[in-house]
Amino acid sequence: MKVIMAQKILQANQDIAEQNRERLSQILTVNLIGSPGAGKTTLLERTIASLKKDFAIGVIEGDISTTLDAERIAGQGVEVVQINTEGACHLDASLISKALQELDLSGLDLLLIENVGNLVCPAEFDLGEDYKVALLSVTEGSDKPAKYPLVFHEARAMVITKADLLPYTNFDLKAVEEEIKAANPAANFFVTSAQTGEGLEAWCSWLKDAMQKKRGLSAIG
Amino acid sequence: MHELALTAELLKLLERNAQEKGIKRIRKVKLVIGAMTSVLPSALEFSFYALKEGPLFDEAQLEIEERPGRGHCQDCQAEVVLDNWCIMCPSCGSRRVAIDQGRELYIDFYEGE
Repeated sequence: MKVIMAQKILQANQDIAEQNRERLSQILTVNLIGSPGAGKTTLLERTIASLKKDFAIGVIEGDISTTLDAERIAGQGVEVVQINTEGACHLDASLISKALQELDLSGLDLLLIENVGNLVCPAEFDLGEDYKVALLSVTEGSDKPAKYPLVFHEARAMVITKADLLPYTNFDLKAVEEEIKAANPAANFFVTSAQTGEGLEAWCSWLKDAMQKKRGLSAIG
Repeated sequence: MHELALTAELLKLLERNAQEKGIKRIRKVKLVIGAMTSVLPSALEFSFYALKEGPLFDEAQLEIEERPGRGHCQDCQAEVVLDNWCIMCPSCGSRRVAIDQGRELYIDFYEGE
């Protein structure tokens, strides 16, 4: 007997991602994707420090193991849930669904999800987020968007980190910006340094605008 | 590495479907994998034979159809053959290429009784 299935392998993930999206209909949800050491946790710390007095922020930390990142974020005084994937190299929608049960979602304005450090598979898994944001530190090299195009193709914003190190690297900022804008014209491009504070205001004000838009939409809807 | 997670999902989907249909043994599974997914067919194949267990999958063989990437340029409308995620129009050099084919990742059919 031949059974035609025509079923997407990631359909189950997609279905749960849609459920997550419904639960998060009032909360701007951002999925941060970048290599290990790109500066995801540091960007989160700086973002939270700058937004927490005006907005209620929740964080989901994805790591293969340890609670080191969650401890850093908890130090900022916001609600954080750590997911340990125990070997898996990405977060998926069902892990997020479980984490959402641990978070008090009422009154939350912003949910920041830090994905497992990896530029490849996190891009394949919809978590129910509004936006994917790709991080790239200048020490990783300017060839990364060409080598890992999916994440840069799907991201709504791209954050260059560690810009204070630019003088010490051969990172071609202009070429990367042109490449990203050509391949993904809708992407917002931010050049930041957590050390000097450069670019963080622009990044945070983009998040604020996005939060406002989301609330506006859900008020209408 | 995520091929293992995908394969676990694939086996779950097959198991559920076979249960519904009353199928006790699966002989062949046919998958379609597009060139523009970050899924390596060889790694998925390895995971399939490593993870499958029990009478339902004892004799199951995997067949993979690799679907090439195709798109069209949104600036000059040229048809573009896409390979390895190098998304660029060969006629005009534009990076604004819409992907029409190659993002597929699905179970086409399986055979069993």
